[in-house]
Amino acid sequence: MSDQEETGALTSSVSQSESKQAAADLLRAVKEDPGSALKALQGLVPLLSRADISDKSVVAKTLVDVFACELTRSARTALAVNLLEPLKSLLDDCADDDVRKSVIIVVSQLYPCIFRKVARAPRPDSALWDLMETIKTKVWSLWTDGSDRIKIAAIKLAQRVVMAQSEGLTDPRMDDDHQVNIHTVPSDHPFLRKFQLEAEGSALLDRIVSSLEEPELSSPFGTAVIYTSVCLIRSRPSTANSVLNRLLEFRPHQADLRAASHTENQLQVRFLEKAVKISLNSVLRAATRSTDSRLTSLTPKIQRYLQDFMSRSAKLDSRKRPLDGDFDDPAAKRSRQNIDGGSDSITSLTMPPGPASYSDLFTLIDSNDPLSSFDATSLPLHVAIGMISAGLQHASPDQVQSALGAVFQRFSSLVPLKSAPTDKASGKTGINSEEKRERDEDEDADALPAADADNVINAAKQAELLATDLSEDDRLKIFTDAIDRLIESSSAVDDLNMFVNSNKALNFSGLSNHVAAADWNKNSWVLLLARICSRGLADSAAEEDSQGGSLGEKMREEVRSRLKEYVVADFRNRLDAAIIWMNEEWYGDFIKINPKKKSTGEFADTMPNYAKWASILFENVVLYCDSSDDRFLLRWLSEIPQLSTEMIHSLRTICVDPDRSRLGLRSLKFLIALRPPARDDALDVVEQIYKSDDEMTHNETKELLKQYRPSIVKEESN
Amino acid sequence: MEAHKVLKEAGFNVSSFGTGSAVRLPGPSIDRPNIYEFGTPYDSIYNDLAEKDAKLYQANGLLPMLDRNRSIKTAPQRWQDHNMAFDIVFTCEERCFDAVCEDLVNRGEQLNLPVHIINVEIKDNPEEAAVGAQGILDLAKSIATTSNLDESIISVLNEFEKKHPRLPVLHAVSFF
Repeated sequence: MSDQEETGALTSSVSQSESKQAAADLLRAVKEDPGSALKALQGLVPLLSRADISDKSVVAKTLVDVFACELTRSARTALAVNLLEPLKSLLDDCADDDVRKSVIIVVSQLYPCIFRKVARAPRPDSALWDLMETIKTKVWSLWTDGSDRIKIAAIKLAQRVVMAQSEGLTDPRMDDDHQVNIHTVPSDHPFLRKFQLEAEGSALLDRIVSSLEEPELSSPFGTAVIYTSVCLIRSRPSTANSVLNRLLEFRPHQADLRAASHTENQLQVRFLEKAVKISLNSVLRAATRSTDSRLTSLTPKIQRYLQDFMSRSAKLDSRKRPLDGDFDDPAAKRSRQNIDGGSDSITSLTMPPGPASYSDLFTLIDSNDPLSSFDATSLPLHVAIGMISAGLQHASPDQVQSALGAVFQRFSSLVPLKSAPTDKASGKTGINSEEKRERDEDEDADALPAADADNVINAAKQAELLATDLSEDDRLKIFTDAIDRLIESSSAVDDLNMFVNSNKALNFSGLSNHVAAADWNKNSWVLLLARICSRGLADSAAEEDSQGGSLGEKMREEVRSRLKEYVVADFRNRLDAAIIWMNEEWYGDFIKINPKKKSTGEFADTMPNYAKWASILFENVVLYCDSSDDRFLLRWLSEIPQLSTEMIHSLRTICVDPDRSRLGLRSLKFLIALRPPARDDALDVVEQIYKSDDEMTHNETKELLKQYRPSIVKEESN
Repeated sequence: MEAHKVLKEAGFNVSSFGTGSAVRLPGPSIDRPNIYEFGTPYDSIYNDLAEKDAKLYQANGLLPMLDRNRSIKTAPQRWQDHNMAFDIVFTCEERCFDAVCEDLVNRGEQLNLPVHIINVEIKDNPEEAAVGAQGILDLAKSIATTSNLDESIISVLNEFEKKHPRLPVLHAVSFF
């Protein structure tokens, strides 16, 4: 059973003064008979004007307790009306923060009663409302420079004002103090103006949530703001969006906190983070149960934030030593630190003697470690990707750097790099591109030669050699291998959600910025490849000179042919990829148009890459489309950036095919009606079909021509 | 309940609650706990367990614990089912802290009464409970002697963590 304890009043030994006795009597009387509250109060109010601060404090605290009791609405309202003036005097005259805090809490308790009374009374009391306005103004000014006590109370009053002055339930059955809202005010009220009240509420809401950004924030006030705001989201969904957006922007570890020491600062960050997490989980749970779209639409945002929060916490936790264990044992402490050190786990920079595999080269853990015998190839691909992502996220840059350095050092002790690219005859020494590809397929099959200590060259020099000593063919081969791997792994991962999530966890923000993609989704790699071939590898000057023979040109064509194979393999499901690719090609060609260069004006001349690859894709579409592919074909025709005359004329093949003629004509009609630049070419095709006297299509083509080229139909009939 | 006992003995006005859906006590094996509804008197629970296997429950400390509990209050109460308000709420596990904070949000802060919620993480065994209860008593005394709690709670908790490094704390201000 959980041992959860609470304490109530923690002060017990103060002597019973007159005011305390009167306050206790009042509280008892109210609890026993709520109807007697007003009568009992009349004996208490005079105590508020006494000079003794402890009297004032006791009475003010008692009033807080009285309003927390279950009173009837009429008793509560009568109390509120009678107390407003004394409370105002107390706020003005008493500078004690404890008293002021209690007064502000009482005001927040009675605000809905006063609001309802003023809004609903047949002859509303404007003096009462003015009094309330004066009190509010006073509280807002105290809030600006007040202590945390005042601020915590003020935030509560602000919350009650926002609740009363924003959209809420209109159901009369829910007409309690908590549900008082802007609809309580009739539109013909003599002096309350709904829009003014709403504007005030909105400004206050903004002030509440922006409190988290103020300098010298303290966690007691910060947590009060967070819970108060979340309560607002729950009770007034109209405030949800603005509150939540600010809450999701709040980063406790970056906040300007008021702390006497570093440990106090850390403590407050921990408290604030906890409050944010509990609050968001609470909203999330409410949103999943709610049918209110203002709440349900927030779910993805909150989930994203909580995911980030969890990964940040995991990162911090991974740096901490475990709490459990005997802290007094120095040996135990030392061994844990060694584990956390990370770099210490790299046991050796030299390879074990004898023939070695690539697997041995990359294995930096001790051979006695049980992990070294684990067969990683037995893992499903998506599990392996998840593990690698998580591993990379949690590894420190230093750790990765030292591990890479160790592998490089081992590698250079094994292989005389200078001869690596040229020593292909044996097929064993050096890592040529073929071996590199095989490495991915079967690590253990490729044996490396034994170490040769004389060939150890310094790391920087080797890196340079690796890059420059590769022949063009080798570079092209490595490049196409990389592209193949990218396409293969994208096709192999069936569970795309998993793939997308694992990529999100890796934070692709930098990459996304470069490719102008908002997020990494299943087609982002297509966009990446399309840009590599249309712009990334394109060098207009070199292109003109080389006339297709440069390495860049070869690389571009390799990417394109692989993209084409990918799209054509399953055209219907990869239409998105095809459209992304074609748009990129068109734009790539468009920005390379040189106005000074003489052009024939031909489509294939101005848009060479787009014209070539769009035609290839078009041929495939036309070839494989069947009669049920109308939506697919129309989308293709509407979304590719430009249609050449040849492409449009190729639609004739479909129109004259008895099984597909309806589809062909529909696509032509679509072009005529909705793609004006293609209209003339499409009408030419219609005209040709009409003149061919094909019985099946005759009527439809005639109708079309009547509308767009009536002269042709007249000629024919003559 | 150990904390309830020491706070009560020190003169504080205390109530105690559980936050789960039922009272769960260890049974003869891990998959067979003894489950009682909140509100079942400690007396009845004590007698029931004594009848089931007095030797086992005496040996694992359950019967002595229930005996202690029935001298403190009649029956276990559930946090979510009560409507009392407090100045300070102590919880002894993080999940209870979460449950209390979330419950206050669910209640809608209708009473407008500010409350300090403090979690002192205590392992659920008799030895740690005794140490933790003394820690909570220390904290309650520090709080009782503080005049402006809202401003000084962080330094009070900081000092507490320094003095009791094995009792990590959490804190929040919310409203009933």
